[in-house]
Amino acid sequence: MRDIVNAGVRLLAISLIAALLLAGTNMITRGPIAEHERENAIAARQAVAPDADSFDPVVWPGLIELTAFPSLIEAFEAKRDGEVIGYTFLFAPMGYKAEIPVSVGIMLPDEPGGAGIVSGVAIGNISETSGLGTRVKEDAFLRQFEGARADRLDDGVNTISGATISSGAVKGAVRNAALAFDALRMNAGQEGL
Amino acid sequence: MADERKSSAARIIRNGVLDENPTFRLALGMCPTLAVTTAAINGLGMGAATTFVLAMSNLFISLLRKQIPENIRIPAFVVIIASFTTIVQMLIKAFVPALDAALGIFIPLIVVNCIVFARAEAFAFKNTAKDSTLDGLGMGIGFTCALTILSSVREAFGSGTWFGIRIMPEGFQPMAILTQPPGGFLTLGIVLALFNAFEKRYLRKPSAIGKGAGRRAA
Repeated sequence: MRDIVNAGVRLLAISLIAALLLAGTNMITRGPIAEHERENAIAARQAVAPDADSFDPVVWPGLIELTAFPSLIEAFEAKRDGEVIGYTFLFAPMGYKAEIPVSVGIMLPDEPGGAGIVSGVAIGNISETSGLGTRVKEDAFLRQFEGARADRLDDGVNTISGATISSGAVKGAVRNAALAFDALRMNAGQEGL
Repeated sequence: MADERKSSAARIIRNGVLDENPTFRLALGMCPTLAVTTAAINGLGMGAATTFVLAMSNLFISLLRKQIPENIRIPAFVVIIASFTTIVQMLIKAFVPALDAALGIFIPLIVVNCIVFARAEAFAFKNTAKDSTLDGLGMGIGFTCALTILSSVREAFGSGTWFGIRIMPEGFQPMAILTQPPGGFLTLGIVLALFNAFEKRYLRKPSAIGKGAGRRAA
């Protein structure tokens, strides 16, 4: 009995020291890590909306709260010369192992009333199966979305064989982005923008 | 006295790099070896991260070896090794984001790298703090050398580059299979054979040849 208590106390002490060390490291690294994540988020928005020169968060709480888009993390207005030319969305749908951060840019069409055009899709850091699920990051897959009409997304977008769940999650995110895009446009229309 | 100490330190380092090289001699830690050696920078980065974890966990386990009762040594090792792995992961994330992008998902695997565990059990738990740290450094350097050699071969022939710089002539057709998982096994086998041939010829003492001395079941 005494042995067990003794061993337990010693293990507790070791774990306590380990926890303190980890807390200390976390205090040092938290700032830079958050900074990198912010930079990456900006880079991802720029990648999916190459024509935009600035981004403003969408101020419409209704969009994020809509239960139709449970995996929507954030939405931004893509602007050029101060004018809204489209929207970017960050979705985090569930992949095979963990959530896949998917950035989608959808631009407003040239003529009013037309369908939005997908300007780009980018994938953030993923932990899918190496060599299978990670292939959703490949250009060959992501390029398929570029220039697609937001109302006809399923035309000509091939799933990656061996990565059905991962590529399905990305396709689902792009479809949801198209729906969110429509919702945003309708909302903007109601406000007379 | 000073000479003796120096030579023992050199012997411990040499032991990790050559005589008991974790990859080429002990054949430990094959999982990260095969997974990350697709490009030279990945091999070097993984090796450096593992060296840090090896040296630090060896040092702490050796310092605490008299405080850790025999029956809880395994959980104690796990806590110490996992803590240093998490620390190195946070440091890489914060200060070397490029390496994090390439290696991020492999760094947590250092926890289960059997080299770290094997050295904790076989060396650090029985030796002084200084020798244990040296052993961790030596093993880490040996592991880093092995990973860098493997990943250099795979990157040079698989993508025609070395550390991202083009080294192959224009007309070179990259052997893409070398950067794929099967290429990892092929390269490992070939490099292992070359290392054995080199060792047999230059390193092993004549009396040891044929006895399989220095070889260990892994």
